[in-house]
Amino acid sequence: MLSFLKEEKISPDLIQGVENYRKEFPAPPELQPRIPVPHFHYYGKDVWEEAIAALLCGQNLLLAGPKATGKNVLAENLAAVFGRPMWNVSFHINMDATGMLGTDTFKNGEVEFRPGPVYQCAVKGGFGVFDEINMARNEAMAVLHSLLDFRHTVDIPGYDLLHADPACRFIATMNYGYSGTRELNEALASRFAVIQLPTISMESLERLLKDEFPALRSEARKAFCQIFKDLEKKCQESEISEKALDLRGMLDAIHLMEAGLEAHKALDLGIVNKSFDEYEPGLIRDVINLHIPGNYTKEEIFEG
Amino acid sequence: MAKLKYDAKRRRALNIVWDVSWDYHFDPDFLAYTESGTPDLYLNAVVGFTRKYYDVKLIHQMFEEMEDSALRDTFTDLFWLGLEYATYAKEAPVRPVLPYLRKQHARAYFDGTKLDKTGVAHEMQAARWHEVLGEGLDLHDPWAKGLYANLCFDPSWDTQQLCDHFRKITKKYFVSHFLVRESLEKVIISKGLGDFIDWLLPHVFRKQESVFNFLYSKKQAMDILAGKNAHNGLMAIITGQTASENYNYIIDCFGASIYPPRKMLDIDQAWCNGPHRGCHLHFTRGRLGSKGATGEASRWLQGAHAQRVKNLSYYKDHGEQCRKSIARLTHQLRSVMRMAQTRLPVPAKEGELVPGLVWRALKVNDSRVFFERETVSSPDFTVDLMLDASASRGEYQQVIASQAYVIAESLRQCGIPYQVYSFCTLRNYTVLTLFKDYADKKRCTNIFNYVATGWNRDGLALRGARQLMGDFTQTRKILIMLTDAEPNDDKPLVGDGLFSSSEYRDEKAVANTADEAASLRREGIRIIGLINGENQHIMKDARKIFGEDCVEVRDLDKMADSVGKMLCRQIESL
Repeated sequence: MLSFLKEEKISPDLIQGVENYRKEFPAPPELQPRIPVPHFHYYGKDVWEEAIAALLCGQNLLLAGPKATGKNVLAENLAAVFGRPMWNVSFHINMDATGMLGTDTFKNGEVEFRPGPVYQCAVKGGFGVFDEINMARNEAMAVLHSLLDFRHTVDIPGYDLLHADPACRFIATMNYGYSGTRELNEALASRFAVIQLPTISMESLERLLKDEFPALRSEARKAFCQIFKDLEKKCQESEISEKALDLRGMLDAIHLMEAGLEAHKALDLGIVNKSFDEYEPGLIRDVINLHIPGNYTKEEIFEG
Repeated sequence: MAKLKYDAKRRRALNIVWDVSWDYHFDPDFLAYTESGTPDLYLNAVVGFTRKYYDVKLIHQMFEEMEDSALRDTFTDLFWLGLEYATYAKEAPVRPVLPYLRKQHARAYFDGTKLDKTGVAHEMQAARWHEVLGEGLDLHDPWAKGLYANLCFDPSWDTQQLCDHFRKITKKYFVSHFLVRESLEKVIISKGLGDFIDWLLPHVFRKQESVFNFLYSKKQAMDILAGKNAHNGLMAIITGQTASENYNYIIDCFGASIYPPRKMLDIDQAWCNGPHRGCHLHFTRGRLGSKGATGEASRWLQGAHAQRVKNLSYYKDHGEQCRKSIARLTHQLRSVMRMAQTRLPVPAKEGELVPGLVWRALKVNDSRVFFERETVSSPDFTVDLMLDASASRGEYQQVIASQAYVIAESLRQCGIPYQVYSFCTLRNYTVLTLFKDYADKKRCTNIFNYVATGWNRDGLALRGARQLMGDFTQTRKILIMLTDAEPNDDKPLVGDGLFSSSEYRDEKAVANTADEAASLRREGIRIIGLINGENQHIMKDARKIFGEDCVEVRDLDKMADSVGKMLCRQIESL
């Protein structure tokens, strides 16, 4: 990953900072399997530099942005770059302290504490990823305030005071517009350095497809990228829901084409069918039809 | 459902235009549909390319010029044919799929029924699609060949050059061709002959001559709405209630529509069909003052103002009673909403330890000695309050306004999104006056503008309510209808057969209203009837429409409890 940062022309000072951090906090062998090996790279020099700088300064990160902006890809990439084990916590409306820190359980005739993912992450100095943090109620998040600010501690009722490892960082992600999401209150937001992730650029999208599908012809690559950008625009204009704006779905569809499935059918599976609305699929298919012909063959899509 | 389908087609056509133009604020003058009525992918893309590459204001002016021409449809088609050529040449290098789409469109053209048609526009279009398919142009006449060559607009031209060129060719190939003397130009290019043809043929027939399938220019929408193209019967002309007069009267009394003309036309086409064929829906926020109104409309507005004063005065006189009702109803609603969000403790293997249950782990090996809290929450919902404002409500106007205010204020205090509107029918228009919409957070004192007049075509009003509810994929809807359950209108209920119309009253009107209510229920809308009237069969008819979800509300005191019970039952069941 460090070589990738150099390719991205990230500031040498920051890369040096990451190297120093890794030397200072080497991951023990038993936690190695928790260090992610990213399948995708996050592209965007500015965002990389902001994120690395914040984490090196001991701050927590809040990655905000609409769907398909690479929030989770970046979080995973950061854990990999810093060489830290990662704990992922998916937030939901009923998330409470027990779901994050741990709960009492009954074992061998005794009540004992079963640590939750945030507790383990804090103790073992990992990177905790709070996925869709604004799905949870602010009151539920209040228990984490002392852990997320300069105190780096949290009192577990009936047990002891938990001190977070100095290597520990938390990276939260949020999509402001998702249904079921709410405003983050000031108390919580002030404990994070916030990065607004831009929508993926045409150039980055092309790079992504080039990395993932080296045999993809340039014309086909451009067409798929343009389909994605057109759908993104359509979502921004609220003409369709975000269900169809699915980068993973687009990549899956191209994999299906590679395996021999006809292009339109593959895009139906990867993108169109994700909308269960009565009319949206028609709008999405029109976007696709305005970029790829009905008889698009595998030879026209892939080289060799 | 007709509305949904219609809207969906238009929305889809617009989206194609926006897909290629990337201007989602662009409201094109033309949209294209195939013969089966589905949006035409290629031609709508051409509309989008035109927006992308040219100055649409100048293009719009060009079409406006053609609007008054006797050969309007022909010229429109020919101009589009020229634009198609130029935009294709510009877009093809950056959109590799375009040659494929163009060929598909050409093939579809020859597979369609348009081949039976004759005329210059058809001949030119056929030549274009022959050329696209690599076939001969099939043009033999030198005049036609010349015209076709001139319809291949040079892609390097700007919009002004395109328009100037088109003006030249219309003059050269139409005026000169049929030319006999210079003054003929006026006949072909200007309005006189167009009006004559309009008089001879109904408007639609002439419009459908367009072989390009481009429909609905903005101007036409406005003309149709204002009744300018309607055929008025003899009685309508004698009584002065022509379609155009009626439209103006409704606007003068109730205020302008909340929707733009084209949307209003869409709404009329979508909802005013079947048993309500020939009727219209008008949505307004009402009007302030009577400035500019004359005659009957002015008198009506003065009456409406006097009624507002009476409504407010009644509310003041019964202020204490109303406040108590608001408090009671608010309390009831809050309780049911709190209940809906209660977190119920359930035994679990982890969570909050319950000492009283520990023995079960030791003695009966049941390790569920903790409580976990399971949240039970109700989905989001909104409430629509719809008030019958027909003349039969005359003597209850003040009571109804106060009752409606009590309900509205309670909903507001509970933070439930709601909207309030009244409905009445006169001169073929079922008018829905919107006092407050979901987004408005203030107290709804506009309810005191409530005034009763005309008939009540409840069936059509329910369709109107559905329109005002908008999209509700994310929220549930509860509709409260304050009515006497006695639908009546002077415009008959249209049947399927030629002579099967019947008066819109009594059983048939109740049956129609019940059908429309059932249709809303099928869409998931909960409907509650608050019945207030004199007829002794009132509840019998109300049950036909609302089933068990109706209650008689006579005075303010009992209303809060009755409404509270009905509303709470609906909220709990959501």
